[in-house]
Amino acid sequence: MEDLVSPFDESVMDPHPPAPRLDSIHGKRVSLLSISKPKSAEFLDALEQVLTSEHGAIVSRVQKPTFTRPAPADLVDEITEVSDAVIEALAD
Amino acid sequence: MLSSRPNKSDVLKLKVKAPDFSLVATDGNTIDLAALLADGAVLLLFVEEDCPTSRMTLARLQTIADGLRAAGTSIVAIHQNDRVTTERTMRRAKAEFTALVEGEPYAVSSAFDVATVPTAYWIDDSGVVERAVEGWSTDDFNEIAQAAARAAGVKAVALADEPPRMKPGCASKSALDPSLWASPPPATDFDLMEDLFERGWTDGLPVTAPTRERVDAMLDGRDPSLSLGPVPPGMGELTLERLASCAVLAGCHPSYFPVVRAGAEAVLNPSFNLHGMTNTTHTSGIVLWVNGPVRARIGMNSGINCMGGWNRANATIGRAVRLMSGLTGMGKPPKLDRSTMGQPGKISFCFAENEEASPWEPYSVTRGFSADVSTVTAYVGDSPFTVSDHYSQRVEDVVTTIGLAGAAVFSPTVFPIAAETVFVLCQEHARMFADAGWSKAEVAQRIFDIASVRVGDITAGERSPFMAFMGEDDIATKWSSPEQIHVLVAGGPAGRFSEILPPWVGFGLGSEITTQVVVEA
Repeated sequence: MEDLVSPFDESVMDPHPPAPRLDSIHGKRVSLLSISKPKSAEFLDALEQVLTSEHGAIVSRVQKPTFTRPAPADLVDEITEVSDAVIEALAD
Repeated sequence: MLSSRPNKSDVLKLKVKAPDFSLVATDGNTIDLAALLADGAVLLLFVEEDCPTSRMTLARLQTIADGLRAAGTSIVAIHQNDRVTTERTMRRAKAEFTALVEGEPYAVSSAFDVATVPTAYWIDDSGVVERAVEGWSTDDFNEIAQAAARAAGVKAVALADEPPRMKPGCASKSALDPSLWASPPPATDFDLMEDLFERGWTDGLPVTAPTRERVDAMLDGRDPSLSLGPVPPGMGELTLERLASCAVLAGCHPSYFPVVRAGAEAVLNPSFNLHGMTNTTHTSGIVLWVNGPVRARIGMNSGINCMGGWNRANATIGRAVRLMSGLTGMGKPPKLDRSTMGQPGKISFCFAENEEASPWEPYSVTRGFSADVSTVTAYVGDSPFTVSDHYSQRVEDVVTTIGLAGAAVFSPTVFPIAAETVFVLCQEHARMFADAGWSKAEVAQRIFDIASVRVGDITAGERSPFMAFMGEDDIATKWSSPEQIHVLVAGGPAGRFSEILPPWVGFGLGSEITTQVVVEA
């Protein structure tokens, strides 16, 4: 059989491995990321309440400028620096 | 036990050091046994494509590969085949573990005393052969999984309890007279078209095999390594060679390649936002239209059925650009393309403007290009929304019909949408407007004025958040300005059907229409 020319870039095909899971979020810094869709604030307000009062997490809120584009690199760096875990709310 | 034969002479003795070896993997890396053992124990599996037991063993062991890995044992297959055959065999077995390629004279197989394929050796991390399995035996492989799990202190995985539980193998090439090494004629069940489906190199329709010869013909001497940048959302790098592969897969003639390239560049323009439009749950897809002399040179259709396929250039150029985003850019559903419904235009949507039948200047000229320059314009649009008006005698009535339809795009109750929107007028509508002395800008202004509502008239259904800040007697427009309405002319000479191509999200969040010059040199 003949060799075929691949349309793929093999170097980007392996999915990124997930970050190590936390055993507990008690006392951990958890960032709640809104992607700027309607109603994400209401959802994240409720989630923040649960995470702080029931699980002892230290919650901070962050927001992407728009849901239609990837988060700016600076924002990703900032979130990475201040977070032990991130929860992203896709919303609607 | 049929297959576990530690005392027979046709497998290695147990509890001895396995012979070292060095072979090339399918990814091109050279791997030796020591490197494999650095990761723990290895289940070394000798296979050959023509042997059904080998193929079955690859597929079945894949089902416990992750579990074995968790117990410290990696499966590594040594194929007595060439690289292409090895890749295909692994793909068809859906086996994802490491595959090494062994060619003539099968020295590694000989060193391991492989008489039969498949033969498997379980080698501990110090290189000592612990067990051997010839042919297939569910029990023997389960015992290996159990022993590995015991040693690692984890739960053992088990193979499905399905027939056949035992199956003899086939003669190893290393055990044959060299005159018998040559591969038999290709397996009669091999079908290149099916193989391309198995590779996932398709949008669901059959594709043309991107052979080296065809890709080279598509490139026509251009630098195959020239990069057009990463393709969102998967960010695979788009070399001209990969784009040419997509063009071949799509069925393009080499003469279309400059148009395919311009289309690719138009959607890779950051303003187009290929990332967001691929990930969105909205149904929109890539819409391309072509202006200028290249349309005639490559035989594009701007007339009857210009949006409906049955013209090779229209059908395959759009498909090539979509394959590029789906394959090189990995924007395939359901992983990175998350469209709730999708629509047929997401396979291919490309047409040419009917400049010859248009009473106005070509779209590209409106965009500031010279009429003798060919361009490809890219837009994020839904499937066409047909507006029929056959009997209105007054242009004001025709434009009202079109404007009211335009008011319904995205959602009939949401004002404004503030997104660039494309209106493709049929020849007859366009001629009526032009005969009345209207320019394209005048048509756009009329549509803009008609497609507006009194806020208080939207009494049911979803309202846009903006309407909450408006008075009930305020007038809400559909667009931010008439300039967001883009007017083209296409289609056949008869029939008063114009098409609206509804947009994706507006307010500068979604996509901007981008136009790219076709460089034919």
